[in-house]
Amino acid sequence: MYDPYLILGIGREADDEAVHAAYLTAIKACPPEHDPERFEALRQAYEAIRTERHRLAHAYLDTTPAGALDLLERAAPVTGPGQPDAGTFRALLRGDG
Amino acid sequence: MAEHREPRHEASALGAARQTVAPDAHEALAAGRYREAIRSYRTLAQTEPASLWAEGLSRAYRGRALELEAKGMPREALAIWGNRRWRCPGALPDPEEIRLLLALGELDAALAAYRELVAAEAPELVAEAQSRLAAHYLAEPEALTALADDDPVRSHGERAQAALAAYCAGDLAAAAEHLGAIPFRSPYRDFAILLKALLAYPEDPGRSERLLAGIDDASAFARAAAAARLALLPEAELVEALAAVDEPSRRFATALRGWSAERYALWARLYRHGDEAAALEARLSVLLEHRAELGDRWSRQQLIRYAYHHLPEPLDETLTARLTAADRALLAAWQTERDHPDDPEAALGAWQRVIAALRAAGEPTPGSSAALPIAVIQRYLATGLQLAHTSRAHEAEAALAESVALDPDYAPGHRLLIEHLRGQGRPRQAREAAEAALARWPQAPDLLQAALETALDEQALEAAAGYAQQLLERDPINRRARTALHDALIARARSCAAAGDSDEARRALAEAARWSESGPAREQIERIRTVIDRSHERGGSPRAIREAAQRYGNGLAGAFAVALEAERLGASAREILDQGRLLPAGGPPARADLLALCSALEQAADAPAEQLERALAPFRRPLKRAARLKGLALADYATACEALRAVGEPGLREAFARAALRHRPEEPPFILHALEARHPPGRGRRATSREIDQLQRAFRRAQAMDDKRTAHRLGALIKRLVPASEAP
Repeated sequence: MYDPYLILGIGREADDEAVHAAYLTAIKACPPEHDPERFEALRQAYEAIRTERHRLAHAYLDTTPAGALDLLERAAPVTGPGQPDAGTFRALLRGDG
Repeated sequence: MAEHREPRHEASALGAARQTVAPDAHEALAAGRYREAIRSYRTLAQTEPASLWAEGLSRAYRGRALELEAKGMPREALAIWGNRRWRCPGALPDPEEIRLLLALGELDAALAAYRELVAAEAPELVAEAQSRLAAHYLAEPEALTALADDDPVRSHGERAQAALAAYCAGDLAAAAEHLGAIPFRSPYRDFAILLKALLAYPEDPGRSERLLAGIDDASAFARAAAAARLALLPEAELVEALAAVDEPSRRFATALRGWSAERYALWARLYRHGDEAAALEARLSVLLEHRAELGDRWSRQQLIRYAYHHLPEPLDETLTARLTAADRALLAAWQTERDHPDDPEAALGAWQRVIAALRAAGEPTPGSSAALPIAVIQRYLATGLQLAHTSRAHEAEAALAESVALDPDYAPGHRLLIEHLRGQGRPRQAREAAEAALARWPQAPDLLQAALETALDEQALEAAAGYAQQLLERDPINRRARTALHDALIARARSCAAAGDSDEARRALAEAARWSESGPAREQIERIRTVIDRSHERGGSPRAIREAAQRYGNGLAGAFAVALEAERLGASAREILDQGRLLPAGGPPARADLLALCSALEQAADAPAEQLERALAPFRRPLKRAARLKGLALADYATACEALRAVGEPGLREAFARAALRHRPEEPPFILHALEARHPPGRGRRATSREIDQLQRAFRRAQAMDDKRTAHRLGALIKRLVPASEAP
């Protein structure tokens, strides 16, 4: 995933404060010693859009296209974890597929 | 005769067959070539009692059945299991066979096989079979009613069913309670572990992972455990891994992650494709079809990025129609930069068209949301395209000036303009830009620093002092500001003194004294003042000169500092040394005096060569005498050689090197100093063959001693002194 907004879990309309708050929340949940790769992705995403000028520079000067995961996250975001229904669970135990 | 010979002949043929076929059968079985193994074992079973080979044949059939099932041929696999039962006398039903029978809906056959295992009292096989029956019982609660009520598959199964139902209904507490009632030794043991792992998800993924690791790959619940493990992956890994598993596993893992049906369908479009072209096509079609969910602006932004990176042909009309004029101009600008990397003018033109498109709706108000993108691009033109280093430097200046006009509240934009103007050698404009920025942010340290530097560029020392004062009021330990101003005032004092304006020089010194914070800086000011007093006949006495020299250290080092300062101020080094009677009358200097002078020489190495040469001239005689000093260590000779090399005194350097070589002949560093000093670059003097030999020996010795630095320097000298045609 590349899109810094999606990495930080914020909308396009986020202002400096919202970006900063999202970054702090994200790195608190994912400190570098737990997942250095994710932490680095968060840090880079924050650096890319932390101020309005950064966000504009990202929009006009960064040519990196969205990947499949960016499209997936933006078009159909996940709201939270869930449980499989009984039918799904049973199909797996039955050995369907 | 023939009738009597035939049985012996047959027996010998059978023995030969056993000798040749048996190893092949074992080898094929071990290597997983099950068809070949089956053929060989059957051959053997025809020649000797079948029971001798039944175990090998049974294992070969088992391997083949599992192989066929893995290839998606379950009916063929079932036939192989049947052959195994038929051709391997005494072979018990296999738990894997029972699992396949259950999966194919052959319940009666599965239960019959299970009962046969129970009757044979094979506890391990029974336990494995029960585990498979348990998984099936959970999947199909009505399927195994034929089992006895006290069979653990049924008796423990009620609780397991209840736990599964509660978990799927989201009643996690009830699920945990039902799990607690399942005995440890139960066909549902792995199911209980699996469900405990799911109950820990997502709050404690570490516990989930540990629990899942306890489910063996051969378990009837291994597939469910693997699907649950998928849900523990980071999203980027999950979306890739899903493509490699079957549909029920995908559904299970994505349900755990909370995927909606829409997300699952989109995933299937985006990730299940054969090649990169199909993947790109899928992404583009999703981009176009889901504009509402993706957002129109975002979709357009991505469309031009896809066009830039992926589409070999220009966008067709359908796609172009979705873009604004500014989008199209932006795409063209990116393409121009990519396709003409050495043509900043072409890129400049393309970006200016982007700006024109952004301005099409009217001139934006400074600071507005319409103005800021233009300011960002203008700054990029100056910095990203590096126009400052091309013939279009004026365009860079115009771009930065406009960025400041459109985005006046962005301090770094002002700073860029100031730095650009300083870099272009336009101190007045730079200072005006700094003052304009300071009018908005009078307290900003970086702008005060910029203003200080522009004032110093202009030699506007009073203004610089004002900025430095403001900076230090806010940041008392700002050494950069203090040093910059101090150095500028010292330079001004020297310049005025050299021009004969001693009053102005003294004023600059007095001002410099205000800003000097270190002892050496204050001593430097005192030394300059003394030299000015003496050279401009303002009453500097020999004693005052000596005192100024002594502040730098007794002896030659202080004398040299005064001499060099005199030359910097346009006075005569020799005269001031004579007036202060600073040079020793005769005899060699002491070792400490020599080393202090060497240190002073090293520090003075960046002084202008002519001033250095005149300041150093009176010290040649004492230095020559010092080279003959007794009691100098090799390190002292090395210090002297390096200092004299730094100030460009080859004759004295060679003298010290030769003196060192008398103590330690062939020592590589001193061979280097002696011969490098004897043959300075550009002199054209040819090295003798003896000298070349000396150098080459020293080079080898330095290498042997692992003195890489000396070896490198000797190598470079050999390369310079030995013409290529004569090189060994």
